[in-house]
Amino acid sequence: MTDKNQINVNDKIFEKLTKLKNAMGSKDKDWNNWFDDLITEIKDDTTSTIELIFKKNVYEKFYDVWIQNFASNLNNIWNDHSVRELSLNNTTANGMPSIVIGRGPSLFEKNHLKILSESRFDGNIICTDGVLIKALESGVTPEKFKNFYVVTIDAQDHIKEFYNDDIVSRYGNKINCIFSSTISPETYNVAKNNKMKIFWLHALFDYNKTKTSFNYMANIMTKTYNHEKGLPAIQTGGNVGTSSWMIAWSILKSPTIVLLGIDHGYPDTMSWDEIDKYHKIPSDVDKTSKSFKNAYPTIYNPDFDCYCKQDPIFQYYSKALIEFIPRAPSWVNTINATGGGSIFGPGITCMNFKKYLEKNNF
Amino acid sequence: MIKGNFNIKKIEIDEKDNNQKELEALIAKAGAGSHMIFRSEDKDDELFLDEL
Repeated sequence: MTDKNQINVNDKIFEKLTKLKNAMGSKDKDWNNWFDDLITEIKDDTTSTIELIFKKNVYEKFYDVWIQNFASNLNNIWNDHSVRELSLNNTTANGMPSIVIGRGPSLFEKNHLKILSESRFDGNIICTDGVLIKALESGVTPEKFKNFYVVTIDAQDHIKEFYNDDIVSRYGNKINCIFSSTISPETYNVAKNNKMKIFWLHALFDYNKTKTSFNYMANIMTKTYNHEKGLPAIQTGGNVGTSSWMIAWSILKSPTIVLLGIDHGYPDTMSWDEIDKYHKIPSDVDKTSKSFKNAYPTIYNPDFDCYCKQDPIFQYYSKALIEFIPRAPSWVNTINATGGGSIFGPGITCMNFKKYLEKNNF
Repeated sequence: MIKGNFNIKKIEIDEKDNNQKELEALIAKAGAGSHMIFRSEDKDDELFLDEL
């Protein structure tokens, strides 16, 4: 790249840009800084809009389900384990590294499950629920990796299918499940039938330090002789991948967290038809419109030197994770080893997965 | 004869508002995921709470 890239615009556009720049009080700013501010502002505008709309929609769709599921799970929560027990033997001084596995396209494109299964990695494996079966089938099993966890936070009944397989049943008694107190009881039953060990936590959604928030009330109800303080609670960032990253440092005290398959985006070579299979794109949308370009942007990942397409859901998820990573305690080192995607920025080290394994003699 | 004394204003359609509405409609149609980002006035409470 040269330090003098040129953009050709006609006089009329240049005049409009100059007017806008002056009107924004940036008359004395150089063009680079002004464009940078403008891009950030446009991006922040869009992501804030997404966050507001999603918050409203998720509340409408799931709030009642969360309460119903919690009520159904309460007896099991009283009798099972709290995630707090997983923290007992871990400190920031002896915490092991964790590999968090999501099911983004890079996981399969870059054969990361096979690479991991052939490695000598001896830290924690934290599987997001949706990739559990694939991971086990690929040789990433609790027999090879002794500290094996799977995480579920979503409330829908269909999540049980992630646990409903012979291979999960085969390894079930060696897998630790970390469940949000609002998951579907059907998911719980399938996991329990597979002899998986269950650890509970709360997913934060309305805690505000008053006695009226559901998070507060739910925790009061979970307090029993074996959960004297109730359950710890985590930020989910809206998805199980971000939840798993949270669990890695807050519960398991991992000083290094390696992300695989947490792309929060699609390779730019993927067609919209293909993307539609991951997250449905509204059928009547004009893909050339301004609003489509804001809702479905293509971004450049400078650390992996690649482009990545996003949709509103992945913009929502990635904005949160990118914001939270630098806010974690200073002893936490997050490595994005996906080889692409949208997770880059302050506090995030992007590194090829094989290089990470070699560097650490895994 | 009826006399009128109306203040007639030209209604300007704000292009930005229209774009914003279009964007919001598109986002709403794009789905919403299944969980939500938790926001708190106390930023220290947002990531992890050992005890509520």
